[in-house]
Amino acid sequence: MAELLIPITTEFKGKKAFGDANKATSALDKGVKKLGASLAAAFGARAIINYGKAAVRASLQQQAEQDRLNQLLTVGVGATASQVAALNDQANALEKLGVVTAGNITQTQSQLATFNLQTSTIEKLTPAILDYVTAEKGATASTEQFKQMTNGLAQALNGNFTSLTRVGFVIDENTKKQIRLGTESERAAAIVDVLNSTYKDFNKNLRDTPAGQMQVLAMAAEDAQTIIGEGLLDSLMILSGDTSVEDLAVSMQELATNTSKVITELAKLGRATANFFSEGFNKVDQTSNNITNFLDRITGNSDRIARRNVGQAGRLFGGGSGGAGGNIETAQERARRIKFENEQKRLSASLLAAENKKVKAEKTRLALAKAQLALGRASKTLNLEQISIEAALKGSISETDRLSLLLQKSILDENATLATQLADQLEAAIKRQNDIRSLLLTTPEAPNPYRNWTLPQELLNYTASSLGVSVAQLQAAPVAVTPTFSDAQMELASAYNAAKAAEDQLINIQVYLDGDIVGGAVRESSINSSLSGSFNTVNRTSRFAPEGVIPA
Amino acid sequence: MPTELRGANALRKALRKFDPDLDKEVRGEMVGFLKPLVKKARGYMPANSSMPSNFVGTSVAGGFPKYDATISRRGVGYKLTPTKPNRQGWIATSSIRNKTAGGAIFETSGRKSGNTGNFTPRLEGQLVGSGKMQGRAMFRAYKEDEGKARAGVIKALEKAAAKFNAKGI
Repeated sequence: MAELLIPITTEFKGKKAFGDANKATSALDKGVKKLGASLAAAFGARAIINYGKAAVRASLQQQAEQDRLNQLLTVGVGATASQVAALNDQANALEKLGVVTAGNITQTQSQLATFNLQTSTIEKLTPAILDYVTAEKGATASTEQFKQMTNGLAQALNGNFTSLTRVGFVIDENTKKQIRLGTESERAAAIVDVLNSTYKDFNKNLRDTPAGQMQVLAMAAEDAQTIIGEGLLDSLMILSGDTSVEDLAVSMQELATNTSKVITELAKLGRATANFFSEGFNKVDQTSNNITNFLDRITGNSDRIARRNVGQAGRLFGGGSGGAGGNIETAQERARRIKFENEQKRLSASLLAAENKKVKAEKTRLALAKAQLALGRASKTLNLEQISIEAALKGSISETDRLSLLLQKSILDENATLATQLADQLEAAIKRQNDIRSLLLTTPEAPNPYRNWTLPQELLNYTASSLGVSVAQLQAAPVAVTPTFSDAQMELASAYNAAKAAEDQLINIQVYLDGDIVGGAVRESSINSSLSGSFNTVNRTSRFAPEGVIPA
Repeated sequence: MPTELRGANALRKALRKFDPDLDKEVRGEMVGFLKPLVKKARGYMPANSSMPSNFVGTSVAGGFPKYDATISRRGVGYKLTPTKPNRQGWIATSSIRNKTAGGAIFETSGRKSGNTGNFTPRLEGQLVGSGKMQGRAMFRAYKEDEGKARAGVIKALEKAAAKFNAKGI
């Protein structure tokens, strides 16, 4: 949309092109840094070294497992190398078939070999045990778990079925008898039957599941690591010129000894260097003295120059500012510096703690103030006194009462200015009221304005004739009503009698003003008018006469 | 010419964040200086009856913009938030603006071609100012104001900055 704009104040933010370039550069920079970080993580020397270490370890472990199996079989049951090789082949084949690593399979075989079982029995039992362990512990069962469960099965092979019955196997008496009394081969066959009755081909089927596939990948990585480890070991031996691991170990020990010797020699060298510097300083000092003496001889006053030379030379070797050796820190200075730094740290920490404490205290204070304010608001809401004042103010009240209530309210509100004003107004109002009261009290009786009024003669004549009496009788006493009167006569007689009675009646009205009787009633509106300064408008006769008697 | 006030934007941001009351106060003061200017500019917007009849009406999308006195007057206002940077990298931290297309046409018509043709001479009011600061309503009011509003706004901002700094937040 078209928009016209007049800038009142402006600010320079830099050109957009520069901004864009800057943004692009920083983005590129970040990208490169990120890439660098990932590359460093992937190909960093430390990561490579760690991997190499792990690979060598894995390779050595595999070798140890092989050695163990070999040892157990050859020593325990006198197995031949071909029998051992057959077991190794089985381990490799089972690894490719299921989810258990060759290392774990070898471990299982070794564990069975500890019970002096024949290689054929081991070969028969191993697949069933792998099914059993993977079924019970999953694809990622550890070496330790393989060991434990193999031990349990081997016990079952010897007639102790607890390990099997505990996990739910039901072994009938016939099988038990066969295991107890049968040959090794029969016992193994019986155990395999028991295991296969529940877990046959579990290890094989597990390979097709996602978890199994993950395990296969892990196994591949482990194999790769082992292979790399073997390669590393070979390369180390080639580099060191050794032909076996033992030779390599010897070479490493020699290297460590030599390194230790080098360190010792370095320490000796350091000590010798320090002595050299000390000697050097003495020599310089001596030279300086010689120069001083020489200059003294020439000029007679060369102390200053000599002192300066000595000072600079001293600082060169001893450290201190102004000399070439200003950056050399002595142990004492270092200790002093460390002490100072520690002191600074301690002070900073205490300052920070004090600051935190202050902030916390301030927060607490603010929270309290807030709570107090909230309470104040709540109490104001529930202030009964205030409520009663407000309610009273809504009612019909006199001016003085209104002022009194307003004053009370302003005092409650702690509004001093308004309270002073209202107090003044109230005082003035009371004064005026007193004036009115005294004025009214001293006001003389007002004469009856109707005192000279008389009934017209024609009306008297008409009434007398209508009622059948004379005018004199009519004026002297009330008309005596007789039953012979017509309705009109009755009305006329009663009206006349009422008027006559009203004329004779004394009207005595007392009006109270602030508790005192005053001589008349004053309309409230008139009072209000008078309070506002227009007392002239007061109509004292507007409703009643002052206290007194209305004459007949 | 507008005045560069470095840090005005940062000041407003800081006030909004740390001292909203002072921000409200300075905003009020700025509005106090800009509102008369806006009012005056709106006053220079002619009634529909004074405009060429074919120019008066309600704008439709895609058509030539029309002038409606009420809408155009409402379109003149002030802005206290910073604009986007222009191609030279400047932002306006406070400004007055004429947002409607019809109002803008009335404002600027004849700037380049002069008071010629069939349309411009029929427009009420006179072009005041020079160059890009030439106009019939908003620019005219700004010219006639002689920089008083600008000075007031700057003073208000400076005062707020001094107050803010004195508080030491």
